[in-house]
Amino acid sequence: MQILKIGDWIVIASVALATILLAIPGDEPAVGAVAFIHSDAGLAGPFALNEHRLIDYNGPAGRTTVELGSAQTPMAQAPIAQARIATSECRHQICVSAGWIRRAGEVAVCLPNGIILRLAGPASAADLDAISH
Amino acid sequence: MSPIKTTDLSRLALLAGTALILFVVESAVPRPLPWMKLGLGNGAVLLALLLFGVRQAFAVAAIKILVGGLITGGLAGPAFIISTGAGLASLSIMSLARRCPPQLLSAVGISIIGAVTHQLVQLLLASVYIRHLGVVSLLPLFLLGGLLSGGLIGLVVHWILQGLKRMGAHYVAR
Repeated sequence: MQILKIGDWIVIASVALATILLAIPGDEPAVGAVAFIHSDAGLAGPFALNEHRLIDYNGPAGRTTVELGSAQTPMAQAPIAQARIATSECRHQICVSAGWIRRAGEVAVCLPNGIILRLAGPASAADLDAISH
Repeated sequence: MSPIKTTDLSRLALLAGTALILFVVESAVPRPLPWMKLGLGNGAVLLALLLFGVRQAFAVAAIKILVGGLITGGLAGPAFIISTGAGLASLSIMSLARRCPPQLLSAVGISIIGAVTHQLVQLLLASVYIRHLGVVSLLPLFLLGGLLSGGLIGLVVHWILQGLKRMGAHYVAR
């Protein structure tokens, strides 16, 4: 006797479909995202991205400037949070060419200077005093 | 309300005890993310629902939640309130799904429906609690978890029911 009935298959298929549809990454960036910056000095942040600011770091490869801010685009209603490594005195300029990052979870990294710029969604550490498991 | 038979009472007590043990043992197992767990205790609640009925299943769930909360020390904390709300919502939906005839929907389907409801309500309550919809981005992960854990628990419950049927238990509904 087969275990799964027609109703079971309908349930499984619809949950799987919903999961897949929801898992497709949307292009809309996380509203209210925050930035974290890991450097030799430790972890800095969360930085709110609603105001423009430049943060300088000095590492073994020279000066690296992180730019935080937000941009108004025609498609989105709210300003889009964005962050990038604007300039860096490192050799390959990989971090600078990574450009703006706008989605939660994205990172821009300058390895020579040990800088990791990371965007996090609004629900992360910014809103919580403590997490109890 | 008819008086409950002593055999049924002892079987329910066994189920409640099983639910409790599974709940406590599972909460001691480390997990990669908070709120990600199999929900083994819910297997016993589902068994109570399918073998005895809605009222009895709620009784087993209440014992699991209250005594389990006391033992694990999570009683009345925010996580406790969130998982209690999710558990009760899940059991309510499973009680509805149980009315579907057995030749259309097996224990596996009911279990998945319950697990997915549990995940949805849990995320909803969590986002109310932290007053932010950000956790909703976890939805696909939670749905997938519900599908897998619900399916697994449902399969186990199905096999237990088959075993009981072979032993000649007369009250097995499906």
